[in-house]
Amino acid sequence: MLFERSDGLYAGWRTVWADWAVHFSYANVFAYRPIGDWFSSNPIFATAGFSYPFLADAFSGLLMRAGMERVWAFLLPSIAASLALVSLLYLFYALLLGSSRAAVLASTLFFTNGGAGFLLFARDLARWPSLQLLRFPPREYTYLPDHGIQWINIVSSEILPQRALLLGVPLALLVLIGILRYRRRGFENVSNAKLAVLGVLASLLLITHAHSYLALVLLCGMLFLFDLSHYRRWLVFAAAAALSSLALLILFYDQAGTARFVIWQPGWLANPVYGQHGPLWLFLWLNWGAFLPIAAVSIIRFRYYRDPLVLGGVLLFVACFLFRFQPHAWDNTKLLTWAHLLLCIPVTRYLQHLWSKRRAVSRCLAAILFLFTTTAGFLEVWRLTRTAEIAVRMWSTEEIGLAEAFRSVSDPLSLVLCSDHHHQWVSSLSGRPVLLGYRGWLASYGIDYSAVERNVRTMLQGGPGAAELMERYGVEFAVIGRSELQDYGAAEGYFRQHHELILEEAGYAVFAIRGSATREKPGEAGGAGK
Amino acid sequence: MKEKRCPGDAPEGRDGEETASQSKWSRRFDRPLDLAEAFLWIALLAVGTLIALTVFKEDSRRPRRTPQRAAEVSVEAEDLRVVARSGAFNFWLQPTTDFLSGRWSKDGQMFALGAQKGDWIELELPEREPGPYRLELLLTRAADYGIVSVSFNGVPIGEEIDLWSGQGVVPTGPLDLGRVELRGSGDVLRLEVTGKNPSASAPYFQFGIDGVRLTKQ
Repeated sequence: MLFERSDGLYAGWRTVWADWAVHFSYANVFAYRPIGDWFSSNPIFATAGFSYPFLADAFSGLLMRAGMERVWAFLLPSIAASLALVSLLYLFYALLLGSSRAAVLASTLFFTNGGAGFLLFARDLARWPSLQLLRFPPREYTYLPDHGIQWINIVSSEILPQRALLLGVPLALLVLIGILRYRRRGFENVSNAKLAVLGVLASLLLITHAHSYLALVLLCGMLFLFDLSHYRRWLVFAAAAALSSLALLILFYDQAGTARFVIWQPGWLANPVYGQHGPLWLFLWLNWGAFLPIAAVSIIRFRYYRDPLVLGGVLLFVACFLFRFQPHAWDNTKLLTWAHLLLCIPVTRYLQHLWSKRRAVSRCLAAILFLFTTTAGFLEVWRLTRTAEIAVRMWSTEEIGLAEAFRSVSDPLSLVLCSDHHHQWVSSLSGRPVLLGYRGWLASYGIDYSAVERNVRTMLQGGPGAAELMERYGVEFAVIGRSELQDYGAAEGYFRQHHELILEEAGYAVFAIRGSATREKPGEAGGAGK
Repeated sequence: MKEKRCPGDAPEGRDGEETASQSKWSRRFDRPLDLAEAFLWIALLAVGTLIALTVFKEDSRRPRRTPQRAAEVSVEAEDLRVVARSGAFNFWLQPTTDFLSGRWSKDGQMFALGAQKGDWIELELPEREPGPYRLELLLTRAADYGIVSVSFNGVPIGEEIDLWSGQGVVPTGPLDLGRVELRGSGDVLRLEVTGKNPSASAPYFQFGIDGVRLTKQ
């Protein structure tokens, strides 16, 4: 997942490479900043407040603060959360499906989601018949965007890279299991204090994983609608959850992004706006394979339309195909993960039903349906086991050394001017806030960065007004490297002429910007639009 | 305390077991119904498979590839045996059907993913009649590829080859490396990463090989 070699820090998988750079930035907030300044500014967009669900990264940051090495501070919480996820998922399914075998089957279905991409693997195998293809599948068969397959395997696209989701799903499952057990007992011998604790636990999802919070709200709502006779007990749970949620909202989410988050966009990624022109049914078949038909048959056959959780799963699934819930449409997968988790219940039930008929034809059919549903996912998970060979370097040893040197000469809140390069070491490694971080992340949070981007360009190019802008933002350091030169046309000569060079290594020059007397408060400069 | 049943709980009784409410009629037709169910599923999966394979074969949504043909090779890179290599970089078959700026032989190349400066790989050619041959290499250029040097049976041949490209992933076409003397068996081609183009992007030092063309002199 994450490891060090002699020449740098490596991610074992491309999605970890892509996502963990920003998680490093967030964890650094808790590792290096004074406690009172944890939420004062966003580490990758210093003119706004820090409002990302931070709990998973806070654990890692605090471990780093306690002296643990960065790699282990990230790995240990992820390993613990993964174990919790597997255990709680098993318990959840066992509770609903009534047997350990069914729980194992449902968990397998959950972790090996994938569509019809395995048929392409069969074609590749026919074209290049070799053991090498089996040892290392040459493509990600659940991610073939050119063929419209984008429902990537949950392990590779969600569980490994998305630290918030990895902590959020087990937490939500814990609450659900608690509620289901209490509800099954008719809430007898369940004190209000226990329900209130569950409510507070549920609200913690707001600072852990917002999508899991939304899913849990919907599922609890569904459970409540099917159990109106105990409305007083539900109210206790809901009141505790609502009050603590409100407190968390006020504390951490007072400055939201500027973009509209929920937008009507039927078809999800099958919408023509994303370049897909095939019919929706084809998109569903290519991405989910036999999973959805099995789920549909099972829901009707076993009357799962009377089950609040499965019904909740169906509603989530339909909602994801009607609305875009985040500026980056692919992020609907975070809710689809929940829909998938719940729809695994009827799919398991149907496969279990076929298998239990003890007839060859039914068992063969169960096996074929299982393979059709899971092979692409199995291939993806198998491919993940080759991480040592497909590792991608995140930062070189020189960049890591430079980041440490920079940390020793700067304050935790020293604002840095640099490019928005995805793997900028300033915020990710040295833990210093940058004026403008990777725009892809900012856009996905709904942050309008256009004014700051223009100003960053002006400052890096050293043109008229650059000094005033640096003064206004309170820039204390500037980094000039390849990305600044190529992507922003930075004028290195300007900085060498006007500012003191304090570090120069690995192709980067770090300058101290003089005259930065004041630091602007979040929101002031970015909103000015200058 | 006995737990009461709620919607969403596991169904009671074992799946598939006959229940008292099941009618004689349904028991009588149980087996044919199972067969019909299986038939319907298999038909659905078969149709779905055909549709998916059709989509994979020719995706109409993608821009049409220029109708050029891949350069012919004598030996596919996939058929070269890896004798030895340095480092922990991966060397695997990469389908090239997604790269629209050219054609590779058999729509695939061997790709050195994650190679670093100084990494090398030795590839053994299949047995062939000994004698003098003109050796041409078919490599790949891309934004994150490095500069490689080539040697044959321990002797450096040709100039260093800069595999950087600013126009996406493209095949180099045949690169003439001059005349070599084949022993017939155990002939080893070695590629070594010696550097990177200043414009290269991370991870800088990768390379890809489509095949080898040998022409008897």
